[in-house]
Amino acid sequence: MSDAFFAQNGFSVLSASNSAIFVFVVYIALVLLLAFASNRLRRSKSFLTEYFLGSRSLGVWAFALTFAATSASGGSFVGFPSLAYTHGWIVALWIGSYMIVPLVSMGFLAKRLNHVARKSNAITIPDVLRDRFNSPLFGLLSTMMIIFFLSFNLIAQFKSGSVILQTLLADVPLFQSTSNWVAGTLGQVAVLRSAVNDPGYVVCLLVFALVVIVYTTYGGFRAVVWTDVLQGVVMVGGVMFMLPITLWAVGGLSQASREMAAMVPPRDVTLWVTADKSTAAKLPADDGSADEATADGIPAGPITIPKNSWLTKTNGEGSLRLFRLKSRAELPPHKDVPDGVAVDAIEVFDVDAIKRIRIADLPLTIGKVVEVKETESYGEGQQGVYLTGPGPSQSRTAGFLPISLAISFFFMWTFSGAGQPSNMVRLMAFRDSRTLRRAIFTVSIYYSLIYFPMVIIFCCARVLLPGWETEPDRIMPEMARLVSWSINQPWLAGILVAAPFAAVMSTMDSFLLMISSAIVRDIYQRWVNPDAKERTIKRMTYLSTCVIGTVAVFAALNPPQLLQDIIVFTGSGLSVTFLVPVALSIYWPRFNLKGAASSMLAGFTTHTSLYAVGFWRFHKMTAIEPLGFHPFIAGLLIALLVAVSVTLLTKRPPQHLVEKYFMAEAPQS
Amino acid sequence: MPAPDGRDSLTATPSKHNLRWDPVFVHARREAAVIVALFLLFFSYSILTCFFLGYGHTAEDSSSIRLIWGMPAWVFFGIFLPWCGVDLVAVWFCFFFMQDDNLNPPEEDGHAKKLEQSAKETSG
Repeated sequence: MSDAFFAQNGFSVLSASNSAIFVFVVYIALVLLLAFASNRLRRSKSFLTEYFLGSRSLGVWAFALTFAATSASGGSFVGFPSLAYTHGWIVALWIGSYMIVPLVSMGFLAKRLNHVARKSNAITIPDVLRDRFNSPLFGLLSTMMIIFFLSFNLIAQFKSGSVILQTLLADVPLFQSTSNWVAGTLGQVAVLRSAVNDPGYVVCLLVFALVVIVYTTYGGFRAVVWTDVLQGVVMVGGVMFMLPITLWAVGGLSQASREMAAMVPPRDVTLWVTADKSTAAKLPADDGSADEATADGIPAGPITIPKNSWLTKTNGEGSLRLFRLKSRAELPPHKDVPDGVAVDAIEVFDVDAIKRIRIADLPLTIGKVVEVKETESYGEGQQGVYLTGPGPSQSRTAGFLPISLAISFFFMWTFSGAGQPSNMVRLMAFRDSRTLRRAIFTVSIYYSLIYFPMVIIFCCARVLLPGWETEPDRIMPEMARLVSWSINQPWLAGILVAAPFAAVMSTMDSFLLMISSAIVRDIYQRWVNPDAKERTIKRMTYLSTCVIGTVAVFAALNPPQLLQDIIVFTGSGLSVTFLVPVALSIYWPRFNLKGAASSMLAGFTTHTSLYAVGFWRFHKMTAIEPLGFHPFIAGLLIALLVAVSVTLLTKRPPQHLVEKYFMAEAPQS
Repeated sequence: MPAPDGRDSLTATPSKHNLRWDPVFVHARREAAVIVALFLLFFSYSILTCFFLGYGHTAEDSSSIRLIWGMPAWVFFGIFLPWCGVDLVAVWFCFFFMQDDNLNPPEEDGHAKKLEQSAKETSG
């Protein structure tokens, strides 16, 4: 362990937070400036093509970074680190297919999709499908699918950004007072009362949403691309900066791995906690009655133990047990509840962790400790599970990543990337083949600099920041703070936290724009008002972007747990719905409308059914896994089977469509 | 070249007799096939290596897990090395294999050429 790292503890938390926020605000200001510049540029061009596709003029860096930044979402910088932290080195295999994702997701479809889109002057993916098969109804079907899945993802991304911002602002007095005010206000509105449990989250959600909605609405596609370039630089810079400092702090990767090898996974427990009688008067009561202790020193009101507080208990043999709270606890005065109250916690078995944490200085006593029995866990009580497959799991006896699931994810990340409409739209926007070749190479290197280093960083985080199994989605911003404080440069936290924040923003703005384009171009302009003037389209576009963002904010007030589950559902769902129809439509001349529509519906139905049954059975966002494989595999295979069989069993497509999209005039001899 | 649906292009009956398969389509399809083959190659190697080296360890032999450059051996051979390999393959694919094709439709190309010609005549 690096002694230099643990020797540093004299910083001022307040000044650290202020400087980090300053850097962060500068970053946001830059983003808004880019949106303004983009809006000015757009005035001389066709609104729709420029607003939704940047006039098909993206060069290498813009194309590469917008593609990479859009793909790397909140899942990459919040969900993925939390998985690496929770499950260890096995996550390297879970993410391993990203080595080849650039080649497949860009090289497999890009050239032909760009070519086909130019032939029909398509701006959106529904446009491409509609024109390829000459079917407005099929275009409408595709639009509905996009809106369905992206709406889920948008909510998850809003949560991501808010969680990140919350960590950055946690120690700022203005933020704390604003959160208290929001808690008081929300408590008076019945439908919003549940959000009072985490008012800080609500404040961050509103700030974050406002920034994203404003710059996306005002700037359109080009603003999204330019901010993606900025965000792409921040993301890779953030990771490259964190890596060496993390390795230094932990004393080298070998040291970290050896410590991980000795670790035993924490377990869920219930603690019975009682306020001490003798020192209770020192505690500030939650209702402000700290100075009104009773004659025997017991406070008049309840005591709050913050979430993530560390508590210890020494057992009869003198050995120390270490616990961390999973939620905030209200502790009534001792006289009211002499046996104490039950609080949820985890027990951390790495007793060396005590050197790296701050034990809560709270005068209370832990009585009974009741273990919460996990009937379907793997790795409980075992060493070495963080270094080997399948990795520890609290919800699956087969472990985190049994080999069948590893195979599924290898396929899924690769081909789901290719099948994302938000990625496909970018494949329609690059300038020429030369740009494409160089961009594929650039993104390959870019992913190499992000994903594998993040596995290293967040495996090391297990050693540096123990006990974050209570709230694993916060591990990224917590590491950013730790790393910047460790070198006494607290302002860097603003940039490092900007990295995951940038990832979330770069994905959210794309999704927001996609849903907006689906509504305006694919529904309003195609079906409701084909003769709409450009001014009307413009207003509709601005309005729909704002409204969609606002609705998503309200939906995110009660945030979902584990972001990664939602992101996997929507990502894999979009791919099984779109990949086969789009790929076959550009590579198979025989492919017809019935085959395409059937394939789309078959993929969608299979995927959502497996998740629906899983949700009903397990009461969480998890799917049934046929033969142990992720539902993506089943959905994709069924979509492909249906596509081929329906096409071959039905009549050929019209000759004029085949000639338009697959043939060219031979050069005259 | 035979048509993808099995019919010989010479026996297809296009409405215009001077049509051929679009070169962009032909090149893109060939490149897509190579990409799928590369994917299967790296997928097979990675999964098999990780499975045989990384799974099936017992708690007793956890302390003897071999580390290479600080990472478990199965991660080094199964993930890190092939990742470096793919980056090299990307160099070959992008700079030596993939063709530069004109993606514009012919009418757009003709219009662009006219504009260029007109600009040249104006500048004298």
